[in-house]
Amino acid sequence: MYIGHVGAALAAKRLRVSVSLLVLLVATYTPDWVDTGLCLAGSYNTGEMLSHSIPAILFFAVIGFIAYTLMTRDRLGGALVAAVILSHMFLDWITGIKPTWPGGPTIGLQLYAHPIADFIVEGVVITIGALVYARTLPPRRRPWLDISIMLGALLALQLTIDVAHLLFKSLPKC
Amino acid sequence: MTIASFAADRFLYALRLVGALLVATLVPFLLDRRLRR
Repeated sequence: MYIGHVGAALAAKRLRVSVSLLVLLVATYTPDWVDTGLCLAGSYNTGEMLSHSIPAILFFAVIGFIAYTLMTRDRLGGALVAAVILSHMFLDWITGIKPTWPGGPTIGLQLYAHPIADFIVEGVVITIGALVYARTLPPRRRPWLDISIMLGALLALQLTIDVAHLLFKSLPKC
Repeated sequence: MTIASFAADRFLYALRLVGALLVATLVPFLLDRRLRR
């Protein structure tokens, strides 16, 4: 999943408004940041075992919980950060195909091969996240305008990615 | 030459990943800040 992960971060914001959206956004993309670091270091493996397997994501979630709790003394916030990191795995199982554990099977629906279906699924996740997030915003005269800006920007980003997938079928990740 | 080209490709791929992640993170974050003003 690409921009759909933002939907998880936006929805999580509603559960605990005190947690910064930036923290939730970094949490939601943690496995992808790890992938990027591995790519830069020349240690990237196409199986994504170190970044997207179940043990790897559980490890990141524990680290996220400990780091956030130590920094803020907010255990519930830490649990939310861990949950958002875990959400990456479940959402990726819908749109991608990911490793489970070393020697284990890979699982996922691999919607990336069907960019239109991918856009629909990610669009639904983004829309749900944005609608939940809208309730955290201060009251305004035109609240729908605010949320439309967020929703429109995210859907436009997702559309750009899916069009790129349609045009360039085999984009290597690293 | 091949190794240099491979390293350059990998750097470009990594740069693309960093750019995509920064956009996906900063766009909603900056919009959120604006909407909370």
